[in-house]
Amino acid sequence: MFEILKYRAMRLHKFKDFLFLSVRKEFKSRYTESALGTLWIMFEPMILVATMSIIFTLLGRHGPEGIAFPVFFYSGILPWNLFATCLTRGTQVFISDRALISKVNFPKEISVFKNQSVFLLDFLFASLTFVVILIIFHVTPNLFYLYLPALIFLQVLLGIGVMFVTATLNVFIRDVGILTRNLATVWFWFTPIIFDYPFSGNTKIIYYLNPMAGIVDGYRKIIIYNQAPIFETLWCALIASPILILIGYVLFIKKEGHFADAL
Amino acid sequence: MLSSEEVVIHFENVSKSYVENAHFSFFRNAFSRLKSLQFFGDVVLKEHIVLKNVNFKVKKGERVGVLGRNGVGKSTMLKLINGISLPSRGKISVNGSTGGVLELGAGFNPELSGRDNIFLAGTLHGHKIHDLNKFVSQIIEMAELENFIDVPIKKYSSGMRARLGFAVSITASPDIVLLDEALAVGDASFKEKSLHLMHQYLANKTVVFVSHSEQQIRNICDRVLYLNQGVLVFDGPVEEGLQKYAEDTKQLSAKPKIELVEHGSRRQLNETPKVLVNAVRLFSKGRPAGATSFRCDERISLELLLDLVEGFGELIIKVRFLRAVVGQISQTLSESRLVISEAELSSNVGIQLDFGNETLIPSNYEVEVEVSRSKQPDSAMTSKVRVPYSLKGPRDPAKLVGIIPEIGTLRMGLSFKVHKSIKVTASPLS
Repeated sequence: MFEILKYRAMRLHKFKDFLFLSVRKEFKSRYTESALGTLWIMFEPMILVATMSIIFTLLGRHGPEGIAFPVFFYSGILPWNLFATCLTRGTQVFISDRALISKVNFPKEISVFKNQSVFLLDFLFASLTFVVILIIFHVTPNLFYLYLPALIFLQVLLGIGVMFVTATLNVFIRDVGILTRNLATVWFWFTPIIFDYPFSGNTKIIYYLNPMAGIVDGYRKIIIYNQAPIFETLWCALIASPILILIGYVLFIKKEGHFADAL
Repeated sequence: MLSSEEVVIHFENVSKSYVENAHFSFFRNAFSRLKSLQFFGDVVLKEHIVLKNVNFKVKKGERVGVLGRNGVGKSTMLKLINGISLPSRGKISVNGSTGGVLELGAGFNPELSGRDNIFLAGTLHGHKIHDLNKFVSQIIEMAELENFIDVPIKKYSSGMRARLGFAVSITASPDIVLLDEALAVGDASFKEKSLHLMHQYLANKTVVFVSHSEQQIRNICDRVLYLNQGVLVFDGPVEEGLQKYAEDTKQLSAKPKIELVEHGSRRQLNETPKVLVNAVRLFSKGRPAGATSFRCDERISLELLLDLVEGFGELIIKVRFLRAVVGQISQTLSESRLVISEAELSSNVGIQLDFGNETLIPSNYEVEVEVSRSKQPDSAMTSKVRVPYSLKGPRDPAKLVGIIPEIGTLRMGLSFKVHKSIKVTASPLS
């Protein structure tokens, strides 16, 4: 097992320039394809937040405990979008690299890492608009912001795990892609993005079985409440990420040899 | 040298089959049951066998041709060697990096410039950006794209894209080169160049070459594997393998069908033949009929033996000279037409044409003879035979096959001298 991992790591290392260039290609081609290019990534959540803000202001609803709704909403929708992209577009990573996989023998993990990098960069770009919103609503950064990279890293791990599992399955069973798309729609409402669900006690423990609930809660604790993220909400994400990566990677290693036949 | 004995590709009892729903079969079968509303009974798995118990070894530096009709598993074999696909049974060991023109242009992105694509495709083959920096100008020059290299390749013509892909592939330089038909790309002048480069490139490399073209296999390979319905039926010298392949192919196409049978063999026609080319043979002074190799300065005679049924009116004989170039459809060099009236001939005639090849360089050529009747020359009354021949020395400095300098000024020293009404007896020519 260790030997296999070592061999794979070496091969990945050999192709790291390809990974770098593919990510750059993604941005370059996106930049040349549409007039606004990368700016769209920033505008898209803004459109949503503007719509939501108008509707919720009309309904007379604010964020919990007097927190400005845009700040509350943005701190939930950004990490959610990162996760949802992994869940939906992530299932297609091998299928969209079909032309390469059926012709060239390269480490196919790159398809996952490449896409995760692109999703992450999109997330960081979109976060720039959040910075603007934070300034508008006078939210000042604090020391707990140093937890942010760790939280983002955790989310990246979770995304990679999800992608290895779903994308590998989706090569052979295309229904998986459709399933996860529908799952994402349902999952959205079970995550505290628009509403902060007032759970307590045992129900709270069950609620935080949703790793995204814990992650969103973590972001909010840092950005809005000037607190450190807590294990009580994050435990599921902390456990699920390595397990998903393990399962996903083993599944991937077992099946990748048949990708070219199935695609 | 010991290293020349080194086995670089080893297939041991390799079988490859595709089984429908082979992976995650439980779920997939459940889904297909759901879809067809068939909840009981066994699900029959369809198995499609591509390769059966294939065994062979390729030593370092060998150039192996793979013959076989469409769909016998030739390309699958390349994919197995390349590691893109895995064998269902058996063991494959490959020692060295693999690659080739198999993936011409793979990894290209239409939105990016030619230069960016060079790096992208180069790194896809495991090269470092740092190393590619050294080769990039060489690639651009080779592809003749100096003026377009910073233009997105979606604006390229297909030829330009192919040239770029070719140049990148050649520069990628793996230990074992896998070729799937495509040997030369681009327009006529670039084809010359790419062939030239290809021959340089293939020198001292291990090559596995899939092709339907006997000429190409002859030019490149020193051994052939012949696959028939997934079974390796022949592994040995080129000529022997080609012969076996030709025999099998002939058997398959023996049914009356308008099809060209190469190499001067008799052509079968539909129903009652009005004109039939019985045989075409080449000879010269000092060489017997049926010779295929001549000197450039030699005058070659073409003997044409026809079977005729009366009432054909006039016979139109078209003689076409083609250059057989590796990796492409033969290119017509010159064409001549000759009309002979019925009165001048009687049935079962031989016609002799003389021609010279002074303007040609040593290479492989083909002469095609097409005979048709002037009245209603539909295809059933047209008979066509192609005979390959090669020219050797005295102009031999160009070691490369099939390269003709100054393609524009090429002329064929062809003059017909028809020896009409040669009665041919039952015995073979000459």
